[in-house]
Amino acid sequence: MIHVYRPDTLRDLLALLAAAEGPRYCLAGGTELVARQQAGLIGDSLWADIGAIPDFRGIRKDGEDLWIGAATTHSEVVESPLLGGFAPALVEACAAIGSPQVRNQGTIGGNVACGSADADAVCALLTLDAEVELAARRERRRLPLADFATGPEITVRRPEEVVLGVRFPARKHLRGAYRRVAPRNGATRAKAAVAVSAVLREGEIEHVRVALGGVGPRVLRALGTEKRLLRDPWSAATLARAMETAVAEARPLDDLRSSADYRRRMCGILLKRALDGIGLPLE
Amino acid sequence: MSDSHHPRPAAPLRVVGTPRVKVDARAKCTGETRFADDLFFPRMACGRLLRSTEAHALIRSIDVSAAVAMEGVYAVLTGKDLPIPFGILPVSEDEHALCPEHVRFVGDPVAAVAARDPWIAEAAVNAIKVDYEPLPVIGSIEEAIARPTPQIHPYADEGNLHRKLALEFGDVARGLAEADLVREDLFFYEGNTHLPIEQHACVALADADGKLTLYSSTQTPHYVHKALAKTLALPPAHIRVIALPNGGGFGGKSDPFNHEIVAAKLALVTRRPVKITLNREEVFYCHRGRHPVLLSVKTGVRRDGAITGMHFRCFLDGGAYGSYGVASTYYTGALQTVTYKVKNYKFDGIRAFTNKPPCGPKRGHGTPQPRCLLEVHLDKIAGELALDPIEMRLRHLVEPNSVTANYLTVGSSGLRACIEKVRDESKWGERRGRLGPGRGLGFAAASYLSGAGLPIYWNNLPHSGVQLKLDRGGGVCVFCGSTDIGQGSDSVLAYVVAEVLGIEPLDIRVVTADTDLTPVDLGSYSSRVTLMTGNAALQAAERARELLTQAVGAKLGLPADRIGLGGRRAFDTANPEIGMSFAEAVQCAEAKFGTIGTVGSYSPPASKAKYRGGGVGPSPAYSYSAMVAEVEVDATTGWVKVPRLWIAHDCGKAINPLLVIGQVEGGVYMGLGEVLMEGSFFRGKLGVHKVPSLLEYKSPTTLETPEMFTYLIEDPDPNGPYGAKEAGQGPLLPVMPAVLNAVYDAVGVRIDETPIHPHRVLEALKRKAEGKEARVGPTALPKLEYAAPVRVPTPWEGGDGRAVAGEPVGHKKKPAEAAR
Repeated sequence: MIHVYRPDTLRDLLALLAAAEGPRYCLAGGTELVARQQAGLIGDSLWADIGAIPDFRGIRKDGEDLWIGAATTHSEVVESPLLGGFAPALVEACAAIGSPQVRNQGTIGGNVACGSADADAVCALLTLDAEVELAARRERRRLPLADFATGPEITVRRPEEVVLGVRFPARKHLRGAYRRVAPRNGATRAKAAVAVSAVLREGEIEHVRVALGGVGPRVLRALGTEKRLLRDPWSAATLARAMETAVAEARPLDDLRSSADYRRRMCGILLKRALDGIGLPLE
Repeated sequence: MSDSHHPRPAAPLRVVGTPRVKVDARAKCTGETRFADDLFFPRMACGRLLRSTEAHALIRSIDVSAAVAMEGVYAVLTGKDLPIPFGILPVSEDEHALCPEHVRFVGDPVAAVAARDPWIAEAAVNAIKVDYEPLPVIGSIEEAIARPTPQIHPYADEGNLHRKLALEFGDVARGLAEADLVREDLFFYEGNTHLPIEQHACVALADADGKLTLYSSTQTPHYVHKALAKTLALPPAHIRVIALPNGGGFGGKSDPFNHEIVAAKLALVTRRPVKITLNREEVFYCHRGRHPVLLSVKTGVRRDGAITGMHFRCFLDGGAYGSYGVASTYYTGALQTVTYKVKNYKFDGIRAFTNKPPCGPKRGHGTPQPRCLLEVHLDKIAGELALDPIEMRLRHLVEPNSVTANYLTVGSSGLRACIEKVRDESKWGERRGRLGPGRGLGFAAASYLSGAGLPIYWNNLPHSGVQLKLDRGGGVCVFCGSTDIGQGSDSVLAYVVAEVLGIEPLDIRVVTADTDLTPVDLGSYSSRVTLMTGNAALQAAERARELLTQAVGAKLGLPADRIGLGGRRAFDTANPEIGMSFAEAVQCAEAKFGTIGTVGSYSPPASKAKYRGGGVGPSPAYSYSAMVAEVEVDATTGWVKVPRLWIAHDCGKAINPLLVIGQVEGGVYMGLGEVLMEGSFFRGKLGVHKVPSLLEYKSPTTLETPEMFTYLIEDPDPNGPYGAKEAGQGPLLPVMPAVLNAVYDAVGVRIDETPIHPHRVLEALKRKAEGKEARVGPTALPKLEYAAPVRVPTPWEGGDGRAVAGEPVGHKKKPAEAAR
């Protein structure tokens, strides 16, 4: 049996989560949670609907950071001028999620909390140096998003905790792109994906972050690829080496959506396309 | 019948041929249409099936005690409660509503419950304990050939080969010897499924007299009626089957299904209405979708492309039951001959039983797989002969009004017009080969039946019947057994009757698909409905017209043939202002003749094919389609995009061009899914469906749907109502080969399999770069001793449609006999 509660305040929610025993989940858009429940992956549990609680909503500047509430939908991300300026990779990633209906329903918090290895928004958020904000009745904490998921659908969230939102530094002149290959153009998970966020100066890369989706047990930061891109001046040879590194950094599996080999190859191709997307000349 | 095909050709058509809304469109758009799952009755129970978790096993025991003991459970059934087998074809009645002792695929039903609500029903089926004794799993065609035991069905022709058959028309060896070029090609066509948006659902009720009513989302209420009577051992007269509008069928709702029989039995046992609505996963298990087929073709051609001999071999992976499979097998060999002249023709067909959901009829039924190979094969032959693939085909088209090597009678054919239309509109001549890197054009043509010439079970009765009731108020009610599955068959009935009687479709009420109220129509399959019910409606309407004009003529003192019907009036054609309203005309007729009702019926013309197996392929009329597809192939990701395509379809005459275009474009969309991404994939060793959900079974969305340029070619066929032929299935057929041929034109590699997996495109490109054969696809057929062919001399050898050798004496084993 699934018991669904709809608390009005964050305080009530946190009390509910703290008092409950056994598995408990926070329900926002339900696009992932309901699908998992229908697939039999979630059994008897407590679901706390966060939809009535204002603390989870909003996209705002908070000092030097940008903050996105966990209940922010993908559509709201796509339409946000603030994020268009400071998080272009995230805007592209959210635009690639599901279908219009799924984007209207699904949330950033859900994308993060589920810990999927191919989570589109997470892939872009990793290139923004994002942190996750978690709240529990007695404690609030923040940790790097890169440390949040530890394996496929495994996260460090404690049962009494809820994802409140994500934050990342508002970096000026940041460019970003998100590219993926998928079984079709919409309403599907990616076979492989690459997010890039970077600052360019005079045609050279001054700052870069690269993340790989769908090609490992969780979304991966491609630290080696980033180093490659920063080490040498921009050139076709730099690109080729970075592509090779991205392929080497991927740790994909075979599954029904794709072969591991194909996914690995795509990491290089998608990196090239993402770099093209942020305005680096390729040939 | 023949006299009513061209009713008063002088009169211009008012309704037929004009774009109109469907008669059910408003209800569909406003959500008022009631589908089977929308039905609710007082005291209604919820039924649910327990399905096998084993792909192949014997049932040692079933313990239902925990389910029976649950509060809110009304009844629990197992195989012993429904011991009589059934199946759509009399030669393969190999299914049980609930498996008595042998489960044959993951999803095979073994028990059922009726309960107060769906949650209790689900808990109850989960409480049933089944003890299985696993058997080795047969997961593929190759395994079925290699492992004759354990047999999935004892009635198979041999081992796990359900059917093994061969037909030869003329002498193919001689034909190949006469050729300038002989080429052989192999292809694998993956299985896929219909994906109707509406999941199968039914509600059964038993009344106080013990009579049964079943509402169901079925394409074939008549066959469900027969199956219920058989399996429940009830007189057919005590059973009423009502087919509700189908939320898509595509062939997937053409068999009688386990859940229909189970719901009926539960209603009889519990004396409550019982509803069973399948979930999406169960729909994937009901399946009856496209057979996976491994194919080969060897063809001999002259330098100009004339076909001197052709030999097809088709290995069908049938899944766990017969379904329509025997017909499907014949269909993989039947229609190769109706597009281009084939002088000598041979066909080997093998259908394997495997431990997977049963395959059956999906849009195109057995013909898309061989057509796909044939059109790809001809593209390759044209390449070898350095001929333009379109021009080569145009030289050798089957003539209208001719008989093929396998005795199919072709009447009208707009194939040439279709081909020329798409060739010209796509600017084939100037654009092909000049589109730049990664872009290409491909061509294919095809043909399909407008209804099968023979019924599924042997009888000499009409295939379709229509009754009209004319009301004093001027209304007309049309009764017909046909089922509207979204294609618009209810609308066709209204249009035809409105045309003949001079009234508006809105004045007509259409009552269909109710075995108590409507005369039999065999069902919405094999693209038969517009032609057959259309002709039956035309005959009934002509007879009503006759009564009206006689009565009105008598009243006005004019000869009946002076009386015209139109604009909701009956009038003197010489002085149109003299006349009366249609309602008054009906009153005149009723006063003169008594209650006004007329009937019409249709039976297809006799077939020339008299050999065993000749029942599959003949049709009153063949539709023709031709397509040019444009593709873009991304050589780095292997992704194939179809930005635009041109399709022309010869439908004889468009009763409503909007509906025909809708059918054509729907077929194209479905074909694109089959070639680009769809597949029913299994973990072969376990027989487990990998993708039984809408999330993971990928079919195209609007984002993949190309710009379509659709052209209707109207070459009226004398056998069709107003000349109409089919449009529901044929336009799917050229899609897959046209796309595959375009991929070759774009990047020079042959993908000899469906769907086109991007990684296989990359593999083919790599092979090409390495100087190997630039193709991916099967490279060999399984080793097998083929059946001795039924030999039939061709018409041009003086044959009469009968076999001269190879016909087995006696009859084929049926499941029940094999079991004894």
